[in-house]
Amino acid sequence: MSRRMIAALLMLATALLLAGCSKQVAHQPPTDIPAAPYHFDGKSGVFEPIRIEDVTDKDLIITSPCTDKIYKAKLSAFGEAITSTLEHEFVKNGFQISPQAEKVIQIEVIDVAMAWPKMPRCDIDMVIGINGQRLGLATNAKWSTSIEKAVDAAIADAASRILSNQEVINYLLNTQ
Amino acid sequence: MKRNFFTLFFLVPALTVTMGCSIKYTSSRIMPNAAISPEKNYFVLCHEDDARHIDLTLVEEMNAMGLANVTSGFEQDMPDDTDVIVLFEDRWMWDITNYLLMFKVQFRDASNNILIARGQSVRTSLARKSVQIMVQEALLGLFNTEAEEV
Repeated sequence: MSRRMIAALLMLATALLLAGCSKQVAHQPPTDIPAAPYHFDGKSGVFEPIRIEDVTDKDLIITSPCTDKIYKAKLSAFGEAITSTLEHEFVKNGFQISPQAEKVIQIEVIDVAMAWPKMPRCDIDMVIGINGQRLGLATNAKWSTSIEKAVDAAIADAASRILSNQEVINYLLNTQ
Repeated sequence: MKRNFFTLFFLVPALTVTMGCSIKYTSSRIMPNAAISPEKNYFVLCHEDDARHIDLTLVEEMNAMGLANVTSGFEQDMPDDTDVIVLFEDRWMWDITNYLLMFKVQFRDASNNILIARGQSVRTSLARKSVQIMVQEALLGLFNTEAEEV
């Protein structure tokens, strides 16, 4: 084998490696993810209509390295996905969702970060606005086998944490 | 020629795999309209699995970066006047010896748990460094406001 061929092979291997390192993933979560199991502490009955308002920054994209890829997260897509999951779950729990409702829960996704020792995990940080009060909530989803699964698991976990948050429940049940 | 080919056949994948073992990155972000102020009181929250007392290293490094009012301990030890809670996560792996694979730190407002800033340092086996260096790496981006990384 000639030296030229050896050099070509080495260059090819390096190029392949570099190409893999700079690969970008832009999986945006769908809006039909079911919430992770949660315990909703609300008594069944007739509830006041509610509105869920997504106030996440519409333009912010956060990049997060993960294994040999770079994950690009558009925060507004996360806000939409969490809002949609929450609406679905609230309806299941007997709430009426109305755009005119006076009772509002504001959802603001402020950060998305990938953690990946061996397997990826997506961490979402949110601010929940209820009754003029702002609460910080963070997900703690499990490690997943792919970035896409990690993102979807984080959305499901985020919805579950909001639905089982005692302050949110107190606000919804007028027990604050 | 045949021997050379077989050497390369094994050398190239070995090189690729070895280079893959040497990955390092840091990532940090301060939330919009948030700041890490030296006037505030910081409390580094320990976790029970941490036998290496990483909290003490974190306190030391935060002091070195200009934050004077930093204490650490478990939740019940938290002073009432704490403004910011500092949480950390450490992931260890074994490769001949134990090494810190990932160190992640979060600054949260003590009154409402809202994230103020976060930093992360990842180093795989061949790029391993001491706990102190990785803590520094995770914090450095937060204190270097000119190099804001999103």
